[in-house]
Order: sequence, then structure tokens, then C-alpha cells
Amino acid sequence: MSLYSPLHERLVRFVQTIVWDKEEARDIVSETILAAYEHFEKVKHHEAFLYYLFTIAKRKMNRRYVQQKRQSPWTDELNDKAEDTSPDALKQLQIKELKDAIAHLPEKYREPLVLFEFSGLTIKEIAEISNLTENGVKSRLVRARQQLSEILDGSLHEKAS
Amino acid sequence: MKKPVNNDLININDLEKGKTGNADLDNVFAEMNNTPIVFSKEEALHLVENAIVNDVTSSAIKNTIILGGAVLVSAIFGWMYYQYNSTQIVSTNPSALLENKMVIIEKNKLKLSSTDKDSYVAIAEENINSRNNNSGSNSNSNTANTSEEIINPALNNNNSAKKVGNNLNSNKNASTVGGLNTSEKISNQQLNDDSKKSNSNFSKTIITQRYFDDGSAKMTLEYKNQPARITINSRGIESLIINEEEVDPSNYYLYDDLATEAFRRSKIEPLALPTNDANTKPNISAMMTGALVRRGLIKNGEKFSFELTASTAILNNTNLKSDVQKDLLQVYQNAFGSSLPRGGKFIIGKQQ
Repeated sequence: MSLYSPLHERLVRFVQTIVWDKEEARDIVSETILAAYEHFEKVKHHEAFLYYLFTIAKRKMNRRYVQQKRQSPWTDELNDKAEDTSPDALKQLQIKELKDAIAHLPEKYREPLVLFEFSGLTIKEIAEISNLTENGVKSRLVRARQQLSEILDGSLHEKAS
Repeated sequence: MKKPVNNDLININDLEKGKTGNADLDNVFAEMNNTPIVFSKEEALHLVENAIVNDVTSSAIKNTIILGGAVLVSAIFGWMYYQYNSTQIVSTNPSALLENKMVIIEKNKLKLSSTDKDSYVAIAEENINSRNNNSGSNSNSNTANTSEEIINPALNNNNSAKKVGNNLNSNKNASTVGGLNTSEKISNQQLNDDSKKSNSNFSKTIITQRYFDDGSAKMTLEYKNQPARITINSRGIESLIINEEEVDPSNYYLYDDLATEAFRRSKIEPLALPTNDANTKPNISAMMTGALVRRGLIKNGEKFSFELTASTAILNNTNLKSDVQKDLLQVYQNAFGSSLPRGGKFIIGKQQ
């Protein structure tokens, strides 16, 4: 647990940003923790634990996405909140919009973006997990941000019209 | 949300978390990072602890099963080894007809010790009984004489017999009263161990033997070329059947060698003469006195007081150790045929 504790919040943010459903996100986190515990002997160096943990989480999420198509974050509840003009409701709405935008990013951009912006991993760490060069990660991050802005812009225009 | 795109502000070599170049997007990112996480660290810890407990429990169960299996297999192999070494099934002997259900525990050439030694055991027992019947001083000389009679042939026979003789002599010198009987236990041991001598009475020599919960033992053997079946307990012979005919208890004395051999083989302690009729009323005091003498707790003919209860044994006002007391309780049970009743006392003489 001493290895896991500093990575806990990073892991959960990674999963909950990509997976919309709260219970599903919890399932994936607990499955990831148990899988990491069961096969802990495979980790040869303590430094490798981070890559090991996030790789398990990635695989678990990918498997879920193959099984069930990505769900739209827009629900009746969100539609109701869109009518609401209170500050909290607006924040909630912005977060949901952002999540929706992230969900529409291609996977090769989505993952580095979430790992960098929400899990707080460094470029080097993301490069290790994604099996990319550091420059490759950087370029994907830039493109992810651009596409995210475009998506958000497009959704706003759509709503306005 | 305002239009966030301002690509000119994004430098590929200057990427920082939460700084996209668009203030609104940065704010949303910040809001996102401030949302609570859906799975707390405590939950993760609890999850791992449960996994560890389950792991430990399952490995403990596995270990228990493995250990239990190993013990079971060892026990089975031990039993088989014991059976292989000590048991051979009687297949050719006609006496097998006598008792099909018996556990056949031994097939052996019976090489009894000399009849002198057998008679010695009998005489020694007799002496105990006679002394218990207050024939004190006379039995002293009887004991001495008898032992001398036995010593001579014994000395002629073999080295172990000499040992017996030496024991008898030294004890006789040490005490005219208790000498012989103190060595009786040793002598019996010698006699039991010395089964090399042949005895024509037990020519075919196959013995089957079975023990019962009441302390008796039943065995079949071939005696003088006839099938014999004898049941004994500590008090003597319960029944004796020779060639399918039951022997009358008044004639048991004719089968002293058979009875002695039966006691020797069964390792049951004879509390009276081996040929005593076990169904007659036992003289428990005499039996207990003999047992005390054989255990070296008193000398032969010595005056003593003894009190036995379920929890204590007091000999001459001295409390005996727990293991001795339990042994004597067993003697009482063997002699009386049932255990000492709760709150009951068995007393010989009077405590001072």
C-alpha cells in the first residue's frame, strides 16, 4: 500500500474522467487495485509500479468500452440542469460538457490529455505508459487540447442555435 | 462557455498542467480537478485488506488440508506396516475354525520358558495370596525355599536364568519377607522375554487374540495338538475350551502352563493365580496387596494401611502420586470388575 497510496487519487481521476458512470468507475478502480495486488510479484522495480497500475486501468477501461459502446453523457437530468441557472448547476453543466467533449476525442488524444491534465502525470510517465516518445506525447497533448476546444465550441454553437 | 481556441498561445515545448492558453478551459479543468474522487483511499485499503485476509484464509485451509492428508496417509502406511510386521493370517491351521471373527495378531513359534519358571510365577502368586491371608511368617520360609528350588534349574539353563537366580538371591538376602516378590516383576519380565525354550504343549503354536473393553482377552491356540480357546481377565480364567469341550473351573489347575502363557501373551497383570476361576467372588484385598507388593510400594508380609478413592491413594498415611493412584484404581477395577463408585472408598487396614 505504501507504493499505491501516492498514486490513488491520480488513478481514480484517470478512471472517473473517462468513465461517465460513477458505479462503473468504482468497479474499474477496485478491479484495477485487486488485479495489481494479485500480480504484484510481476513488478520488478518499485518505479515501475505506476506504469503497471495505469496499464491495468487502461486495459480494464478498454475492455468495458468494447463491451458497451460509449454512452452519451446527456441525460434527462442534465437537460434539467441546463434549464437551471444557479452557479453550482452551471459548474456541473460545464463539467459534464467537458466530460462529453473528452469522450468524443479520439482515444490516442484522450488518454494523454486525461493523464496529464487530471491525473497529473508527467510527460515522461505518460510516454512510458502509452509506449510513446516524449515528443509524441507532447504533440498529442497539443492536438487534444485543440480538438477539445473545437468540440466545446461546436457544442456551444449547437446549443445557441 | 466562450470560444477557447487560441492555438498561438500553445507552445509544444512549454506544456503545463491546467494551462491551455484558454482561461475558460483552464477554469473548467480546475473545476474538474476539484470534484471529489469516487473511490476513497480508505475503500482501497479495505479492499486490499479483505483480499489479504481471503488469501491468508484460503492458504490456511489449503495448508490444513495438505497437513491432514499427510497425517492420514502416514497413519495408513504406519498401520499397514504394523500389520505387515505383526500379522499373518492363519490359512492352514484347523484352529482357525475356532474363531473366525478374531483379530489374528500373531503367528509365532511358541517357545515357552521352562516349566520351572512357570511354576515359579504360580508359586510366587500363591505366596502373595497366602501372605494376604495372614500366613505371614510361614510364607517367609516358603518363599525362600521355593526360590532356591527355582534358582537351581534356572542356573543350569541359560545366562538369563542366572540373572533371575541372582535377583532372587540378592533379594532374599536383603529381605527374607519381601525379597522374592520384589524381584518377581523382574523375574516375570525375564520369563516373558525368554520365550526361546520349546514347549511341546504348544506344538503348532498359532495364537489369535482379541481384547475386550472389560479388560479381558480371548485367544485361541493349539494346545497339545488340540484347539484351545481361553478367555482370561486379571482375576484368572473366565472360560477355557479344549477341543470344543468346556473345561470345568475345578480343573483349571491342570492347565497352568496354558493359563500362564495366555497371561504372558496378553500382557494382562494376573492379580491372582493364572488358573483362578475368574467368575468366583474375588478377594480384592489380596489382589490389591499383591499389586502393591509387585509395584514395590510395600514389602511382602508387611503390615500396612491403604485407602483408595477416586481422587487419592493413601498408603501408610502418605499420599501416593497421581499416576500411581490411577494405576491402583485400574487394579481395583480389574479386581472388582467395575470401577470404584463415586464417593466410594476402598480400605485395607486402618490409617493411623
